[in-house]
Amino acid sequence: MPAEHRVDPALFDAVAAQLTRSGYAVLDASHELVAHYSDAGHAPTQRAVDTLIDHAADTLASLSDSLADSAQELQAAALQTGTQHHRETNRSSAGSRRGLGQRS
Amino acid sequence: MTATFIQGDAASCSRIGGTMRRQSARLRQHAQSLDDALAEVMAGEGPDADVALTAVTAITGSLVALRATADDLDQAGAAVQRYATDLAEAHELGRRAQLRVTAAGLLLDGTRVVEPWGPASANEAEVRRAQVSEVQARVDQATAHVGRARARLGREVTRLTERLAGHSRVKHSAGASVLR
Repeated sequence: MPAEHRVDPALFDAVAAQLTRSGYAVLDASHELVAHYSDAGHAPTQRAVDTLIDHAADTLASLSDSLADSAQELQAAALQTGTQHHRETNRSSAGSRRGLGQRS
Repeated sequence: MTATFIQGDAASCSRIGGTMRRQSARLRQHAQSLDDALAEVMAGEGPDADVALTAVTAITGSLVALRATADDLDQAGAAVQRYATDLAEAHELGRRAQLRVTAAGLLLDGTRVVEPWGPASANEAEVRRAQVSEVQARVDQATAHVGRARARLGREVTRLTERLAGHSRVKHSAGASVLR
């Protein structure tokens, strides 16, 4: 029977770290957008552009939150998987020891 | 000489458009890195596959939103940059029209070409009057150019604002993720 390919909990951690980095980048983008000033030269056009920038900044901020939440949840999943691995490894090594004891 | 009847700063519009596009490219890079990281998790099998799948499902929503937002930002940046180019062209058309107004001895009242008040010989007045419609056409060309650009930008901005608000609503209403 082939060995089971298990998901390494470190992989979850790596994805969580990437999610965190992306979350920060998205938040930076949101801040940078609202920090800019533009002069469209026409009041209704200016209002439309400002509204677009506000919506884009809000969307990015909300996306940043959602990425941060996913990162936290993934870290929790990694912890859960890691604990499970640890328990199974202990159980299997205890079983091997018992097996060895029976043979001797 | 700058045309006083064309308002707006093309350079500042170009800068904000460029910022949007640069951020869009950055967000796409992050989306790609997340995709690569997720692909490794997806390759896993066995008892952790369920946890992996749940994690991937949760993150996929954010990834889709990240890509969609990056696309919209790129389109918004392109629209604002296009407007900046049109505005710069309108400024140039306006500058030339303004020179023509001055050369013809006429005045601008807003965007309307008018004859100046005061004494003038009948011949001088006749020469000025004869040039009004041609000079007005030059001014109109500049104002129409910027007017079309504003209308185009307005349509694009309205469409993209609705889309961006839509992404934001979807993320808010998603609330708790699948992992919970």
